[in-house]
Amino acid sequence: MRCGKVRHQLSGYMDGVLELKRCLKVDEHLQRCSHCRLALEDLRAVKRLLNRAPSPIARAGFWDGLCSQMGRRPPALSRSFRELLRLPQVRIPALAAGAIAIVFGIAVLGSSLLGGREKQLLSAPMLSDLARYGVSQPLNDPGALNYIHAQSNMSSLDSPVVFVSDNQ
Amino acid sequence: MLWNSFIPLFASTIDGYRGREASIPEVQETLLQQEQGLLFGDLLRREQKKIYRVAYRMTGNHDDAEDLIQETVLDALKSFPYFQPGTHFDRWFLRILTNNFIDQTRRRAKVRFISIDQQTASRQGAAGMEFPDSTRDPQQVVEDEIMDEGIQEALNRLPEEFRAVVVLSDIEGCSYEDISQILRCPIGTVRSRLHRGRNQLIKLLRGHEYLGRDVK
Repeated sequence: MRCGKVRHQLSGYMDGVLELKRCLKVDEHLQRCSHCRLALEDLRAVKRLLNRAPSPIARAGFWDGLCSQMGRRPPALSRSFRELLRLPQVRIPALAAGAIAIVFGIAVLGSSLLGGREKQLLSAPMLSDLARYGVSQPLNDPGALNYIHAQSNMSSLDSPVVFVSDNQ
Repeated sequence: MLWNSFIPLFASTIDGYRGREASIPEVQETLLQQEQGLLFGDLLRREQKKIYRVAYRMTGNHDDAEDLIQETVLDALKSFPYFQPGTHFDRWFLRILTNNFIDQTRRRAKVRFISIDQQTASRQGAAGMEFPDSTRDPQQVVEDEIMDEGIQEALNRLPEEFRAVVVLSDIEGCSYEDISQILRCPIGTVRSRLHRGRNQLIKLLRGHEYLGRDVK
């Protein structure tokens, strides 16, 4: 057996984990190779040094602080957001709240856009016309809204538009 | 970041939900979780010396060792329902700790600046070293402390995989099979890493005069 191969097995030899056959071969090599014997002594010295290394001690209160948290706070509350969303008692209300928020947002946006357009089209003569027919809130009256649209579209043709209220 | 801002909201939602409809399974679940927390704390207490020793030797200082343990405790608590009672808690915990240590080391920048004032930092407090023989003379104590600093410096310079194997084997006295289970790697890999780690340590320690008495 050559030195290179033996050196590679010295750690296992020292720890007693080599197979018997290999162990005997390393034994045989060590008897006649002083370099490998020195290498083995170095390994033993390092192992001894590490084995005798002192034990570090944590600062006072470290373990008390860490262990005092155990058992008081349920681990469920320290779950990640994704884990929380997997819980049915969170997922269902969250989905419902999200759906309501989307519907509400669309309704508010739509009404503001529609109302805003009619407000722009509504002029003082139209208001007085509508008032004559007893429409006080034209933006809430479908007939009045049709009248406003028609009046604004036909204004370029200078032809009169007759207002027909739903109330009549 | 945006998600994190919603966590307290949902945590309070769960509290409120539980407060209104505290069904028996939910109460049982909470009690079980509290019981598991207490059991976890007891097991941690039993193995605290070993855990701290491994964490310190892997990270090389008290502050990082504490951070590593705290992070590992959080991860271990999440996985604790999967821990099988009657098996080795220390090996199970050290597996998570070692994985966290290797992940942390890889995540961090390769170049790390260490403050000269680190040893006197606020958290250092009463942290220290426990030598096996407390009746030694003061000169011996100082020599041992210097020697230990040299060993730790050499350990810090090993690649994290080698360091983990060397610490578990030569400081903790774990068998190859134990290390193989902790690191979840074949025994051949453990043997190879240990061999290479020890040989690197020999080279690193050979330069220290005060270690000449042990390493030729």
